[in-house]
Amino acid sequence: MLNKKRDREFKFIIDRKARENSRKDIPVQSKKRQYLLAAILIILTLSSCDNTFSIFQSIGQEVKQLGAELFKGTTVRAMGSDATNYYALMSKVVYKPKSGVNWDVLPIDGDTDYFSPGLASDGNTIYVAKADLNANLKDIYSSSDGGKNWTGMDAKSDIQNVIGAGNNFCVDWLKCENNTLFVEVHDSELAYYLFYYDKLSDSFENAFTSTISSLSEPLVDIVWDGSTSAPGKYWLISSSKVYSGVEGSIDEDSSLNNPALSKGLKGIASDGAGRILVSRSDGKIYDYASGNWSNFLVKSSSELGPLILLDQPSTSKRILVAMGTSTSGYMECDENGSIVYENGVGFISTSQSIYNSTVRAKQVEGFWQPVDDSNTLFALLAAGSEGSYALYRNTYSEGAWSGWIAE
Amino acid sequence: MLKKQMLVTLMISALALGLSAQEKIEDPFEATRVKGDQSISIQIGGFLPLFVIDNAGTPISPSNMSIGSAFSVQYRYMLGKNFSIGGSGAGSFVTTVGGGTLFMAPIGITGAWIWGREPMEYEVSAELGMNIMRLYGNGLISPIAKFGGGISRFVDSSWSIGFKLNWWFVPEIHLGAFSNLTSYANFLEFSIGANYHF
Repeated sequence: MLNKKRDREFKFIIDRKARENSRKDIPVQSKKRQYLLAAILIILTLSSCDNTFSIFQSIGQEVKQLGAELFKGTTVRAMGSDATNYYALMSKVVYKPKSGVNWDVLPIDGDTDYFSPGLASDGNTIYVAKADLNANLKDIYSSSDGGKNWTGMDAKSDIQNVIGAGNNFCVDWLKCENNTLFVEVHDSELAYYLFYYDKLSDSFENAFTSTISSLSEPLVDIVWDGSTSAPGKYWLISSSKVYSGVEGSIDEDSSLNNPALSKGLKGIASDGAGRILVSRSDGKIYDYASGNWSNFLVKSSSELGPLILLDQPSTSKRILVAMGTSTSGYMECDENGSIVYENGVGFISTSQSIYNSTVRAKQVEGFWQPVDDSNTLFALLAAGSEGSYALYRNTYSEGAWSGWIAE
Repeated sequence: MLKKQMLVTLMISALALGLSAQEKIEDPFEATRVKGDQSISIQIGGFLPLFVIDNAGTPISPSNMSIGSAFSVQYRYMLGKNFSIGGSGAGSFVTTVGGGTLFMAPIGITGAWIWGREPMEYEVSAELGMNIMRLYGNGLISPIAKFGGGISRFVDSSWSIGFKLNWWFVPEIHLGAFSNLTSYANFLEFSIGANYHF
């Protein structure tokens, strides 16, 4: 080996000369470019640093999330509850007793091998849509005893009476607002319809005014404004327009400065006391109160998603608004939109550490609170990977939210 | 915690055994290298989070990090028969209890004291540099210091293979109003690798 070492020395001398020559050949201009490039890289790297975020302390605050296997790598699309259970909709409905731990598939009328495109509840009764393998509606079932007994509502024939006998159609969603069940369906021609369940006539009726039989774009969501100063009404958004009215006479909203935007409406929420919020794809939230629309910018050029007005703590209400699919997660802002919180920093709903390890980077399908419990909040997510969960619960207790915990 | 302690004890024992096996060497500081010798090494191995302390010196418990992996590339230039300087770049991953992944990529300058007798070579080294960290899309740059040692064995005139232990000391410095977020993390890198001498 020592003999070999001499070879190495010799080679080194040759190499050193070669290196020195090549260094002399580097023009000064080229060196300046290299320094400039290095400076740019350093600036870019430093600018990505966040002095407000502690990596190791954040990790130390993380909570091991042990949720139900059912919610791993899936999407939760809707939730409901009655006196005894929570219900969540994936491709089937799963349920968990409010005082229990385990989630399980809910048999519908004795059947566990089904596909459900919709779930809704009014706090006492749950409604579940069942469809065939082509997503065509079979029927909507209701249960008022925690899923023990089911009643078929004969929805298919009622709806076919409107859209045409023999026409198959798909359910997009169910929603209960103000104790009324609404159903959005679309047919093979992509005409979209909204029906409500009329308890008096025990049938499904067109929710729109008689001049609107269907829409050419999907409906996003419907809420009840709960107004007491004026007759209460429902507010509905399609992907482009706002509608309002009561059952059977919902019509396009023509009020000044309303949030209509072609394919730009993403979410709608109500405070239950006359105030309506609508989120849009241009980063704005429109705010309706006392007969007037106003708006504020949450984040420019950022698509927003579903939103909710969180009324706890009552002294510091926040709007939670999902971010578009390119970034995902959600933001918080105070109820007037003057301060916006991002990336978990300053959130009231959860700590930054828990936000990072639970909701951030996942698409938020919606936020949901039981009608009778404003101290419980669920985040319904599209979990992108097999190992992550799609449903988290947050509980308000002793003046603070617990932070997201996997269900 | 017990598993971590056992693992550290095993590694230190292995290092000590390797050193004691060379008791018969008459001149352990006999140079196997000369000034101007250079080497490039590539290491890969495991990465063990040890403990984290906060700004007040209180341990952040638990550290909530699991064992991960690390790799590094290092260049060395011998300034004498025993002392070398050089530079290194490394990368490491550890997963967190919440399902995140902490990525660290330090680059630094190294100094090492190297001794031994062919075919074995031993070293103790220190490294100072900067460390780019990334967690959940949040980035930070911190200083870093590494201290360690290793054993390697020449398999021919140009190549040696060996084992290294490196203690990573990672101070996460926050300034101004956020200085309370400062914390100090400690990791142990254990790796095997190959060195090319030229």
